[in-house]
Amino acid sequence: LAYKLEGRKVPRIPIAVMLSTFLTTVAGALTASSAAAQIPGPTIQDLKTPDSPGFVLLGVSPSAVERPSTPKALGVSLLSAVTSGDNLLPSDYAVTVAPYWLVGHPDLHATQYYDPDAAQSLRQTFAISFASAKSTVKGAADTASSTDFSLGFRAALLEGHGSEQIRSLNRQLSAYRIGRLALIRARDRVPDVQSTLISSDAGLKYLTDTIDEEFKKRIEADDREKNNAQKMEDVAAQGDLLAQIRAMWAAKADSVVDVLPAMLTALAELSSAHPPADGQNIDLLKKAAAEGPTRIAARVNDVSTTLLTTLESDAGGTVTKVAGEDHLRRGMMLSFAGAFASRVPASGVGDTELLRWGFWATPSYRLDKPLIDVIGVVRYIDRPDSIGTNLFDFGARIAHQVGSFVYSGEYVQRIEGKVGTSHPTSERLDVNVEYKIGDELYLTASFGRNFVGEPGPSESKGGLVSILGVNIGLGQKQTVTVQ
Amino acid sequence: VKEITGAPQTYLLDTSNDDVRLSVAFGDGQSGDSDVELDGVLLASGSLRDLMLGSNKQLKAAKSTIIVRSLVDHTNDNTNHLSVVYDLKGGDAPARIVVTSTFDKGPSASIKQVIKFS
Repeated sequence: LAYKLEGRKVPRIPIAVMLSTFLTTVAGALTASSAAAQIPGPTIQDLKTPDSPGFVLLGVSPSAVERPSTPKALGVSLLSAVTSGDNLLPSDYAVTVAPYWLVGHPDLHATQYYDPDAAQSLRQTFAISFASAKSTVKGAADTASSTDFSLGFRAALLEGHGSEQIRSLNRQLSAYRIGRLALIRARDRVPDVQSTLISSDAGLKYLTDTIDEEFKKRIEADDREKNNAQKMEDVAAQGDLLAQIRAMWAAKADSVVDVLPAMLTALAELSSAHPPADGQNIDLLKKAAAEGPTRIAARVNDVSTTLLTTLESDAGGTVTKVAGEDHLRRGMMLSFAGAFASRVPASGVGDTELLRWGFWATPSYRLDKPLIDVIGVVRYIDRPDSIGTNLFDFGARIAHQVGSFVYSGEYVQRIEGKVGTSHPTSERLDVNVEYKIGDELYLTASFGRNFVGEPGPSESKGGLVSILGVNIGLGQKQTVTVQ
Repeated sequence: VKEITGAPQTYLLDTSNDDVRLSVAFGDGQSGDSDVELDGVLLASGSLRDLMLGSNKQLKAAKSTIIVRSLVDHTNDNTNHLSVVYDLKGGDAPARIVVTSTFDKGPSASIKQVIKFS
């Protein structure tokens, strides 16, 4: 019917304009649904290694150079180091809390969130983490029976910006929302429409009278212009339109579900603008008005609800894509992190010793396409004299994400020693792979050569890095609610 | 979809011919759109910024009411919070209405806010 209405040039008719507008809105929403279902390419999700600052300082992180990311309100990381354990049960744990996201921020608009200035970037990325790991790095106490703890923070002064795809996805989401709002409006009007139909059997008469009146103007204009062809077309269009409407009403609700939301919305608007008056009865319309209101209203509600459910389902998939894409900010990023670590030996908490503290900066740049990160790191680690000399690290990592898979390589140079002492050096060179194996669950593994004295089978010469880990984010599944 | 209805609000007008305008914004880094009905007639749908509702005199004489329907999507999953901020100006004094909630029934929330003019 929508096609025929438009084909008969009824836009000059107010009621048809209302019908057409509504149908166009609904059709637009459905088109948006269809378009969203055809988005090409893989779904990019928020891949990340378990890279708590505490893990980095304790030397158990799969990577010594962290990829930038925005923290969730609450996240948990679990790590299992296969080179030092007898099984794959996690031996290292970290909890990360981003205080900013624990409370609401009504003044934080999406544009400000996606393209934050330095102050906002610091606020929304500041996170505190607490990590626990099986002792591996060199300390005074026996490593075999001790546990290391670390408290750290991370914040980004520059957080980059949203990608081109996130803008495109957000535009699609906006189209979905506008379509869904139109359906919600139609559903909300069901009681009014039903009331109108019940109270006025002349309601549909007004619909047909309006059509007659508008066509009359049209035909008069055709006569003045002596355009007989157009006149014949208009007369035919008028007859067709009236016949269709009468037939639909005669056939009751089941056969008119496609246009009823629009028709009833238009009718309600007409009725509010033009109070019904007594007068000519049209048998078919009276019959529909008498028998149909309850069924029709129920059908309108059903149709609106069904369409809404479909749109919500499609929109939900796009929302997930936007959220995933949001974890892959593009452009220049600069984050800072710091942590200190202590060891609690088997003899008790009273013998806790400070292992090390450190501070580091991580500048990075992420391309839009291909999804490549170039990340640098400059890190200072201070250790008590009883444990060792201070450490200065600098290096870089290049990571490439393809779909749900990320591979990267990194090289970090370490210089040891205090002022006036010798400065032995060692290197960490490894490759890292990450794969998302489920919602909020990531598998990560690193292979390569670690610094001297860091975790690995041969501490004196630098060990083989080999770590498996999973990362579990708790922010996405509505688990944190602060009233 | 979580459906939220804000407490009905009243916005005070004066007797001038000055325009009364409405803006609707979404907080917590989330994305949303709205539509506005004035006395049952749809005025606008989409992103609403400084939408002209009518003059003080018109709205007051008609004892008008607006219904603002909004949909918010959970595009920032770092937090579960959502908020809708309604800013009215042009009347007796600027007014701000804030509705806050959390996503706990799927990736979207629907918010309906009724504002009467007096």
